[in-house]
Amino acid sequence: MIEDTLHRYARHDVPASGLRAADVLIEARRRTRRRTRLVGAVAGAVTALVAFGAAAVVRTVSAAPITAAGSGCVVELLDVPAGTTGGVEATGVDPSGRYVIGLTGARETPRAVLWTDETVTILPAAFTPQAVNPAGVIVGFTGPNQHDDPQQRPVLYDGARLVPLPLPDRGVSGVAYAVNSDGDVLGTVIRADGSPAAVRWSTTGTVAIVTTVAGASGLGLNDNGVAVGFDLPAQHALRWTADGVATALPVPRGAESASAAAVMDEWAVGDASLPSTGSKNDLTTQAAVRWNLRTGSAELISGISGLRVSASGTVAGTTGTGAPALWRNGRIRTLPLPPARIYPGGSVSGITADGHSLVGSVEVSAGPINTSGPDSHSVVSDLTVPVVWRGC
Amino acid sequence: MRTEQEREYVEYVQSRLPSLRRTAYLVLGDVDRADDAVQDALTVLYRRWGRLTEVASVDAYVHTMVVRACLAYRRRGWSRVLLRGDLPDSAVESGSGRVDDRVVVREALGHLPVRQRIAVILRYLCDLPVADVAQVLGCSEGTVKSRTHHGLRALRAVLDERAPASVAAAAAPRRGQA
Repeated sequence: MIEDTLHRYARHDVPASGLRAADVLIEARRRTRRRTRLVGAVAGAVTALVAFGAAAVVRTVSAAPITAAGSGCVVELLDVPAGTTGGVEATGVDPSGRYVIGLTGARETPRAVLWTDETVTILPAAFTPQAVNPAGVIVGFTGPNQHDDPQQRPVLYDGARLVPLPLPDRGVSGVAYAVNSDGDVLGTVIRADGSPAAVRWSTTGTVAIVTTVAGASGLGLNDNGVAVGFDLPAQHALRWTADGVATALPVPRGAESASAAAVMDEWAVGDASLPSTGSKNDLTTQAAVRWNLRTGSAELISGISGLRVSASGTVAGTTGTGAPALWRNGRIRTLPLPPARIYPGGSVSGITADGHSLVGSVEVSAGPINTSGPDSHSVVSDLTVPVVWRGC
Repeated sequence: MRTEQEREYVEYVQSRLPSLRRTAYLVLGDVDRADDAVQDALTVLYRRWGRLTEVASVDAYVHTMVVRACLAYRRRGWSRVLLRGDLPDSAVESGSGRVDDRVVVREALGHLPVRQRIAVILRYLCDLPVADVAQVLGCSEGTVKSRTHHGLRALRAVLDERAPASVAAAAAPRRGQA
């Protein structure tokens, strides 16, 4: 009986590790305290924290209907650089859609990929790209591509060379997350005590640090110089101008908290955290919040996460079932997936200014491969492959 | 969190850690990644511990978080090969058939589509009820039954086809068995 075989297989020991219940508790406490500290740091350090727009229009939207995108919206696999053996993911697109950036290699030794003018190349400089502007300037970080690695350093790639971005006072590591059309860069620096600071670098002429906002993570920067950010574990989304005056973005009615992840033109977007209902469905609920930076409105969009936003206000994210999707005019539309996928979902990592082209990644089967060693046998491997959606 | 709640949390973690690690290991095939996924899920659980009174099945709730954490790791591309070749290096009696089972079953599982594979892992390797598997995968119980049915049928076919060759390959050069 196949069931018996499976039960026998299940009884084999899982290799031992150092994970013990007490260690789990200590780590959970540490992460929770860090999250609390971040909230406190922002409240204490941002002196000009003012509720954004007392007359802000705050409205709530119930779960938006989800339908498949129209037939004009197509998915294409992006070419993978020659000689690549592992997965490749697209990590961003510039607002014009000309440059697409991506990532390959092991997480200890990440390599940057650039698609432009129908060619794909692995950049000679080793770093993890995070954003690209319409001039092809790429920002990101060197060091291992894993959460909170202290070896990460913010960098800018100008098309020919990798420029290290200086760490402000007491900074020990950092990441550049956004670059606007002028080449100004926004990112986050981690200080020796573990606290973050949002940093804005001016890169015209010599690289200079313009402002820092203590206790915050800088994640998005638009062409008007408005920055948004704050880290996911924290409870407040912020916006701030080049002079460092920070303003809280409002939490839309119906949400417990919200975090801003990206900004383009007058729109900012992020994830909303909804109050617990006690239902297990809480785990799969996705909700975005979209702010209009001009009018001060905050809009709760239930049913999709808020990863990126276009200049026209289209929101890109994933649904509760992990399907890549966009939200426009009150409707969520799931994006088509390539036939070769093996997982019914994917990720979205970028959207153009017009909101009609997006980039992201899906997983496909790479077929059976043979493991090495004395117990060599065949296993199925799955590869992350980069995709672009057009006409959506 | 209050001391009393922390004590309850630790007791729960202590009792479920082996099964959660097993689930993550079966999905990811890598001990370190599996431990990372379990820690991520249990940290979220820690923050929500005081608000779980209305959750019907905490076990399914936590398994959902662990599986989702595993899928998140996979989507980040950090675990590109689902089932790896590093078998537990324990002594096995010659001719017992246990080694053959592990190699062949793992290989066969590796040929299933991801959702089918996770349905089979949760249902038959982790012994979760159909309703809980449906919750974890975010689908109906009928879909779970359908996926496990097709998954078992595919496993049967692969095992029938591959067992003799794999048995021979696994038995010959490994671990100095006479």
